[in-house]
Amino acid sequence: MSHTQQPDPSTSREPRTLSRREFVKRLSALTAMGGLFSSVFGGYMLTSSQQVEAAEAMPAQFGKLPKHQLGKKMGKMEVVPILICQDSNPQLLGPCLAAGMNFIHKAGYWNSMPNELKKIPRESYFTDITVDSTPNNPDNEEGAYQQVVQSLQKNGFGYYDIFRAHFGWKTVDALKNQRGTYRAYQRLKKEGKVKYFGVSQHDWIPYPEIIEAIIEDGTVCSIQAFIHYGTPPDAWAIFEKAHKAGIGITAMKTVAYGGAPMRNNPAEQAKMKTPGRIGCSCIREALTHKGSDGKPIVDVCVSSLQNFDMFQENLGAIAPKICKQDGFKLI
Amino acid sequence: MNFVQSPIWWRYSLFPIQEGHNERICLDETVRIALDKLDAYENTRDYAQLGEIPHWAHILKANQSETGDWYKYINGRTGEPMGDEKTLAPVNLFTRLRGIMNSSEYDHAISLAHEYSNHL
Repeated sequence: MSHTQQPDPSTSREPRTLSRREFVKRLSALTAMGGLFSSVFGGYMLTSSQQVEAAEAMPAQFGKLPKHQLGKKMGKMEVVPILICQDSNPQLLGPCLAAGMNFIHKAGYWNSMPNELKKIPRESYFTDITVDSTPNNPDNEEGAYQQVVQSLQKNGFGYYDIFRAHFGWKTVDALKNQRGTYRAYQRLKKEGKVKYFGVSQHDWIPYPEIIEAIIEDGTVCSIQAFIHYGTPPDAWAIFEKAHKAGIGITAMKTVAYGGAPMRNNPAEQAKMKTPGRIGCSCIREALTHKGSDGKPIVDVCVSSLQNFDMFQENLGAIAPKICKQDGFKLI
Repeated sequence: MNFVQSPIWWRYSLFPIQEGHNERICLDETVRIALDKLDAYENTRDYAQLGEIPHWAHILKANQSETGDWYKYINGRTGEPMGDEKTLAPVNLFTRLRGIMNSSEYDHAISLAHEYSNHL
């Protein structure tokens, strides 16, 4: 078979490979004309280097991604409002960094530092470690302490910007009275291994109750929570209160949970200027959802990117060139 | 067997539920489906094959018992166990994910299961 005569992918049983020549031709068309990655490469199995090359070409379509200040309690922490998630497709880490993304959620789970990060200064990006003493053993000071210390020994990050209590507290009583996790944070902060205290709070009990308690507690600088299209008004109200208290707000499960209700609401998709692009709609809705004062509540959202279409669509939610094409104003 | 996906407002959201079993989730079945998807991933190296698996693992990890095991049957809506039968199947999922993701995320859960169980 000539390398210029590629099979029709729609009739192929097995993914086919692309020659260098055909790959470049298709990539050039994608870059020049736009469109979805899958419309050009769907049905083909790209080599690792082809995938990276294709994804690295995409930032040119995006323009310089904006940065949002993450709350007011953590100094200058200006972050591209979509976070890299440690369990995303590892082939997308390079393209994500090339696009300017500068916060890695769950970095503490890496057993070794990815090569892409070894090439850049540690101070050029932010990280968090999700510490697993909460929710089941919130008083386990030593376990929490050792998780951080041992992870740093393995991956060499040196420090984490946020010590994030993973899954959060199951009760207000546990938050108030079982303080081992917080004591571990204090020890680690003194040792320079972490900087700020945060939480990834699941909705074990209704958000208004537990988030109110977190605000009153005063130690948490960053809250990550289930925030998506479909989050009820009472939850939005408490997140607004937390944000006004200076706590950085990160939305999670924005697309996973928001996707279904968004898919069923073409009017909302139209409002986000993204009919048919569900991931993009969900992210734009979360980042532009306004509180009672007309200001946005969510600073950033986390997105687990599994393939190139998700990379393209989700980052398109905040990319200046794509927003301009769509006629959408992010903030 | 046909499976549908549990609603997002359930405690075990986006989990597979066997049609006709109302709110009951069988963790052995969940893990079996997940391992099949991981096999597909290993064959294609297409990360999209993982789908909801990291999410399932995330939820399972948070619901491991103090004795390192899990209730086999769960009411997916409430998160409450249905019956007394226990399972260690999620450990198989965690072990596979640990290798695929170069991640320590599941190390403690795997250790806990090994520590307390005579079944592994």
